[in-house]
Amino acid sequence: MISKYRLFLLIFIPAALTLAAGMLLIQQKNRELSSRQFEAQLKSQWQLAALIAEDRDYQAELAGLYQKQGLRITLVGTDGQVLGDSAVSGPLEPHGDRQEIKQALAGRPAMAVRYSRSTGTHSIYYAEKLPDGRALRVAYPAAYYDAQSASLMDQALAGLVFSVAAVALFAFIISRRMSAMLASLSLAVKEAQDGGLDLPSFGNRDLDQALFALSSANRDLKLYSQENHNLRQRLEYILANINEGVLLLADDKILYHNRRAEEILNRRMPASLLDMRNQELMDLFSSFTAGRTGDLQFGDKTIMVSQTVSESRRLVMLHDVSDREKYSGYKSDLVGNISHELKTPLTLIMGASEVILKDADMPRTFLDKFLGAIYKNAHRINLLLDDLIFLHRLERIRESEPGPVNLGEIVDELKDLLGPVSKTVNYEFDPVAVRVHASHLVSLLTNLISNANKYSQGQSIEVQMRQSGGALEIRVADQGPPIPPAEHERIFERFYTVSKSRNRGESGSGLGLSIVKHIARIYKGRVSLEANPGGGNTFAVRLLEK
Amino acid sequence: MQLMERELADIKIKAASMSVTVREMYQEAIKALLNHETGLARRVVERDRLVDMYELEIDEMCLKFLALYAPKAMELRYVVAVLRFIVELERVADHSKAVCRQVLDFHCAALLPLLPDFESILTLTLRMTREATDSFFETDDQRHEAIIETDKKVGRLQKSLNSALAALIREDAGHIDGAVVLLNIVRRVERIGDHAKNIAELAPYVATGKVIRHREVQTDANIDH
Repeated sequence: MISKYRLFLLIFIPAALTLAAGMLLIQQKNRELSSRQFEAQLKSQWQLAALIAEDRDYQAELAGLYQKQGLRITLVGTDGQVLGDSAVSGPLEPHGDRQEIKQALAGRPAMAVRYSRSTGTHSIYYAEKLPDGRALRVAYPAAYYDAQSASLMDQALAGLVFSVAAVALFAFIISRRMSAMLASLSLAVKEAQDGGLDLPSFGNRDLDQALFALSSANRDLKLYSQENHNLRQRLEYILANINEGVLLLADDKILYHNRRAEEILNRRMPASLLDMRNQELMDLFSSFTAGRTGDLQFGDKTIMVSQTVSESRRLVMLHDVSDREKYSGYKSDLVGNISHELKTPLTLIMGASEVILKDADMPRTFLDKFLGAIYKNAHRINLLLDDLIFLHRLERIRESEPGPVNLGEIVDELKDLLGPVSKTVNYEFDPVAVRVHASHLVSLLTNLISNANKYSQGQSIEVQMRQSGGALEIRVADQGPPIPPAEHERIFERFYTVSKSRNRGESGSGLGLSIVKHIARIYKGRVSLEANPGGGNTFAVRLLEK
Repeated sequence: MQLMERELADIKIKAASMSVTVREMYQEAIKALLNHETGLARRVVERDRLVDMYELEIDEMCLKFLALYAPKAMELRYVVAVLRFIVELERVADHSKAVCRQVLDFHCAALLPLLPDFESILTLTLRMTREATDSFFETDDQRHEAIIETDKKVGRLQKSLNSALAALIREDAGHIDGAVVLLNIVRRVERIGDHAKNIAELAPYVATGKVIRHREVQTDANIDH
């Protein structure tokens, strides 16, 4: 914004300069005019003097007449001799050599300004030839003319000073008012730009209306851009968080991609297809541009691709279905395993019952043997189904808050449950209560202990339960033979009883360790298997109390 | 200029598709061989036609590019390298196809547990093809040394496998059919390793114009490219 002083100078300087220039011009004209007037005055004085000079006794009369006026009249004869002078009474040297006289005698009227040796003053002369051949000269002292023009100058200067002062005042007042107005206008414009409603009135309808229009337009614009921003943010949020990868392609350009797309393709996305340097990615994108959809293989991933093409743009949606593919493989494995596990005892049952049916007179001892086989295998199927149901329940439910359960009670229950075991089981536990479901804990321990009982060739099993910092540490150790390290991970898979290192004579459902693993997972814990110094295996479980 | 870049990118993308296809073929050939999956082997054999088509198409594109744009420096080297690249790839595909033919003809998986080196020569060469093609597309001129080293290892493995197979034959003449098939397969696999090495040597050529091939016969005079 222009400051008050600058505004003042802006008005004042040009105005003052114009004024001064105008005054100067007028003064010039005035001077010209006054010098012309002076000349005319000289001439008329001359004519008056000429009238008198024609028929009187000149010298005395001229002197008497013009003494007071300061006018000097000189009559010069044709030979240059001074015939009479009003200012000087004595005889004078011949004036024929004076500039103006010389010209006048030659017949040309003349003016001259110079120092007069006769009167000792600066004088202005006018001389002309009289009809009888003599020359008549009139003269004023220069001081007379100078005084006249000096008074003229003074007047002009006074006028100038006065008008400059007036202009200054005027400029000052205007600049003050204008700067005040500009300040409030600028405030109002700022308010209008922010879309504010608090607009001052300037008493000018057009200005007020323009300000109001500006303000409401800005307000609308602000609302609109805010809305736009919100919408954009919402869209960004959705696109960043959906499970689908989204790509927008146009020719070679990747106009947009969301974060998920980079995750699925496991790469930072370049801005253009031309910048790609990975062959799988190039191949995949060339499949996109060829319009392929459905399940596409990308490295070890399976990606379900769908596309929408409109004009030159191509919207590609990516869905990572690797897990689905993996799961369907896993499911068919599981179904195969279960049916296989069921089929074996079932075949034995059917075979035995068929023999019994065919041979009605079978001796009791044989009959008992076959019935025993049927019972044993039916029992095995039953156990398998029990485990399956239990496992299913574990995988399904997120169970309730468990009450505290005493470890001593658990051990008592275990002893009852396991009944007579062929090996010695030594329990060692902290006499505390833990917040773990009793059924989970019992199931976990039964599985581990009966596992050790079945497969170990040693004589004793060590069971250890310790509480430490909100976690329950369980260790079940047998005396071997050790499970090879290569099988340590796989042994927790369902139906993994086919290990060559384990005695297949004892049959389990193949679900025991899988159940252990699931229980540990429910308590956000873990299971591990390590070799122990006694040459056996130690299963270590860690459960975080609920 | 824009058009030239575009066409070069087309060539590159097409070559990438071919490369991915060939790599998958070899990977599947290995799987078919180890698990004796005849269905998979048949599919690999069929895919060889696709690779041949790729080769013809890319060849055509490269020649057209050379004729139209008369490229200089890096572009020229790239196109020349692509021409070599697709030939090598086509050979890899051919060998993969041949391996699968053997799988279809003869059940040789029975001998495999007796040859512990067999699986490692397969994994090594598969990794070589993967890394070599990657280095080609990334114009990575640092990786070829490692790949050349791996190729030497593959050569050693081939030798030990050959003598192991010979020993098998000496031990039991009944193994002779399977052993001959496996000898053939090992030779093919070793060749695939060679092709991968050749591909790996292309990246430094594209990047700097340096020729890595046959360094032992290069003199200072003909190195100058």
